[in-house]
Amino acid sequence: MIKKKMSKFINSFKVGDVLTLLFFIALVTLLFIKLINLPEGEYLEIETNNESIIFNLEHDIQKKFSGPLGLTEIIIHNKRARFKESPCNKKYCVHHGWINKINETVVCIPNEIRISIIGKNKPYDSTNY
Amino acid sequence: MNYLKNVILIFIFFLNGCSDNQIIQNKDYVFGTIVDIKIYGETKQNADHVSNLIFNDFHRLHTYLHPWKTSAISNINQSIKQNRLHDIDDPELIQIIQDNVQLYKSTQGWFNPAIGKLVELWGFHSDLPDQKVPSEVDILDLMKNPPKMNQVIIENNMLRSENPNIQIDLGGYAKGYALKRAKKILEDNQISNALINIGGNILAIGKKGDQFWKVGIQHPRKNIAFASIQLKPGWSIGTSGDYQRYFISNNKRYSHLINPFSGYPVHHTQSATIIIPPREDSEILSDVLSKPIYLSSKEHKVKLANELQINYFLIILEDGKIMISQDMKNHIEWLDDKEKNVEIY
Repeated sequence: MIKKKMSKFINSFKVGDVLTLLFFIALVTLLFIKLINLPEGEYLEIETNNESIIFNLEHDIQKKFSGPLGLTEIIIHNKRARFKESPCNKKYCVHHGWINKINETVVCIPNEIRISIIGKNKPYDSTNY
Repeated sequence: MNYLKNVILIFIFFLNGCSDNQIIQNKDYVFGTIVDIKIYGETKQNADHVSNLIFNDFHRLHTYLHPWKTSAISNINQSIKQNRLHDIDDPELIQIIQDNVQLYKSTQGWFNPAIGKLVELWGFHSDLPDQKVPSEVDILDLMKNPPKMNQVIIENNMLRSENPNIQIDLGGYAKGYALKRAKKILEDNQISNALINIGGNILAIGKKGDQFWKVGIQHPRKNIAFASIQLKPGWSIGTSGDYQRYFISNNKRYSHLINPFSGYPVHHTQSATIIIPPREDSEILSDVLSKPIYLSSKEHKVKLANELQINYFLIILEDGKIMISQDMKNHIEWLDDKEKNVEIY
């Protein structure tokens, strides 16, 4: 029965459908390759419930930020960043590990802290110094 | 199977919306610093062409105005040192010198490009500063007859000065002047949206699509911006600070910015940032006028800013406290928690 349905389904494919399907698969594969090769970011943005701070990934830091549950510790090391300690129960944020690619984000919902990697698309176009 | 085609078409439509190649960026190294030109909404070919025109002009200016290598300025300095009349048959140079005399007067001497000898004494007339404090005797000796820019006189294309201590150094003017030149080049080439950054001195021309250009303001003690600000068309921003060219001796920081009245760098201020909206020579003023605000004492800064019609200023004092004008505060966006330590003027 299932076999019959399957062959009916496959027989309903026309050449154009097969080609578009192949094109679609190729496109998804390409996008996936592009995604894993995303450029590394330059900054880490840390958002808590009352502030948003940006750090340069070039400089190692180890800092604590307060959320509704307590203190969350975030570290930057070797141009990567991660949650090191968190007062939340499940600690998904800590288990997520390191991030370093542009737009990678880890959120700790219980303690309301979000970290994201920012790349060339900094929050500004140029720097005054 | 039609649904498959529709899905793909919609997918491709969204993918197209993700691309943003509207800004063409070019960089070069001029004036001992990085020059960054961003042009919006032009073809790459045209943007590259105009950027190169600007870079070429900057390289010309760098050689033309260089304070210690052979240049039109160092030739003048040579003549002043030898108490000779200097034939200055060059309208651009005459204009530049007269401009600097005028700026000296309008800033009550706080902007004084005649103190090249002091800058040299402090070791900053070198690509690699000496990193040592000069002897007090040498500084006092020079300050007995302090060099003043209004002692430089041009009459009938002849430049002279009675004060041999004068050595012109346009380090506090050249980048602003270059921004003004760049603006002209962009106008001549019908480019109406660009952002030019010469070692931190920035001029915004037009907009970036429907948005204003936005710049970050670097923290003087950290390698990151602590605030950002949107620059409206024609606005220029400049900072004087003790964190780009300086040396540390006996745990004390000595910046290349010298107080023309004392002969010493100041220690009360880390940085002074100003924004000048469009007015006559605003690009030059954004470079020049940050010096008086940086160098003058805390008590004097606001008064001087008012006299010089600087409505947008942000000053970071040695202890990290921030003095900010109301107009600047209304426009600024803090990127860290600095606003907790801010005094509004």
